Amino acid sequence: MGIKRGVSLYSYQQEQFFRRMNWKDMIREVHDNLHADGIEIIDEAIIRNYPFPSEQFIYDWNNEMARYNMKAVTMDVYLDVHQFRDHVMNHREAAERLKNDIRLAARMGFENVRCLCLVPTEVIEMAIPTAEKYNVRIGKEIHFPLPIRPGVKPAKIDPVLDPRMAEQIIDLVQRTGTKHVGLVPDFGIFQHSPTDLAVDYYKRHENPDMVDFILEKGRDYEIDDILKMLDEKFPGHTMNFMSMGTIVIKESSARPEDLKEIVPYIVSMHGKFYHMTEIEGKPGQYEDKAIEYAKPIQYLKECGFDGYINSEFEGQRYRQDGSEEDMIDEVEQVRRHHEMLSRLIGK
Amino acid sequence: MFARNMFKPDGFRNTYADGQAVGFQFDCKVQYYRGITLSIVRDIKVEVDGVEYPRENIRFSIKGETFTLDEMRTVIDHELRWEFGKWATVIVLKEGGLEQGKHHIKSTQIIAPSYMPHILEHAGDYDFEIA
Repeated sequence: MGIKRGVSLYSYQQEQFFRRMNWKDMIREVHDNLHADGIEIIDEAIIRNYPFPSEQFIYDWNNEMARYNMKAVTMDVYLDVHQFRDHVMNHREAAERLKNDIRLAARMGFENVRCLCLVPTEVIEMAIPTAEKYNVRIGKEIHFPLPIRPGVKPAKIDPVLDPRMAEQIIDLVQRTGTKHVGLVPDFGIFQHSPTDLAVDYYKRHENPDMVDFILEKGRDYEIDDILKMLDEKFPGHTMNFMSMGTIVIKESSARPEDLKEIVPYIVSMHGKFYHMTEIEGKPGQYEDKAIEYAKPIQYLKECGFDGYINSEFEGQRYRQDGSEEDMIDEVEQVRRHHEMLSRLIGK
Repeated sequence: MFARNMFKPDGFRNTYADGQAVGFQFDCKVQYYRGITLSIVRDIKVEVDGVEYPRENIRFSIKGETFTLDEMRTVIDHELRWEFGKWATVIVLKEGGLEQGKHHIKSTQIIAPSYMPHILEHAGDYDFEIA
């Protein structure tokens, strides 16, 4: 057993956008070149005519997965709460949508669905009977800037996110006794510093001196305070709370050791990363300088986690403002990520 | 995402009806990492050579169906989604179309997907030529 490796096909979004790779090409890449078998998808990116794909699509999917002996690990689902323009979807409507996603995931052989950290616990609870019937687990994502356990640092975060999310899901599992609800921690919660790609992006689009100023102040001040300084010192800048959040990162939103307490509830992991670069003095070995991987993987191993870590490459977004030649090679980045995962997992 | 690559280079042309140029059109991709239900499109803005065209002059065409932006508010049909990486055609009604020659377009997509609590707005610029 042990930790298993997979890829979220989201990692190849740029290849898909330019129509250089389709989902079949991506599956073959994971199989042939990464020697991994885990596949994760975003429903609305891969499933044509979601949420009611044709029988042919389902057949094609299952057949392709069978051909390469791949494992459909997790399907990432969303709740399009703004879809009906006369009202925001209510909880009962949202639960119906989630149940349909669960049935669809089951037809495509997926073991789990991942729902977003904003999905109310009540909606998940309403879908439990469907999850049990179809034997598909619902994993709620622990995404940056959430912690695993609250109180790691002052909760200076997005007001719509509840830092007690993991605790609420564990309570739900204990109260209902279900084995079909859990958590999908994203390695983005172990990001401890800004990625160089984000810093370079803002240096191309803003005054580079201002970016250096932000990085320097970011060590001691909160985003709101720095924005006020920018308004005075660099009038006309276009930084906002969201963009600042990508380069003002003092410490990770979760502590790696907190993983130990939630291992039994982990459905699968998102291996978020931005930029794999060669480790100095170690040719052929790679790391993401902004995200801690070694300790979390060590704790997962110690606690006997035997699920999947699925690569989720997101660094390409910071290089899509120039010409196509300047864009990042997603395939190469994911290969490097799997070099690191294989090495840290130890097999 | 892909502010430049949202436009199809050879998709710019005048739109004709009964032999008359009634507007111009271009093909574009959704500026997001997944496909979307058309009803979450809040607006598509088009500005050519500094002239912004009114919302009621915009038409959106996909898989052979054409909608006004107001009609699109109700399109939740799974077969009429704007799939990721696929072209849709935006038509702008303008009597006589655009003049032959070089032009500059700025188009902005405003969508309301569920991931973020706020509305997303993505603009892209492109230089094109009407033959």
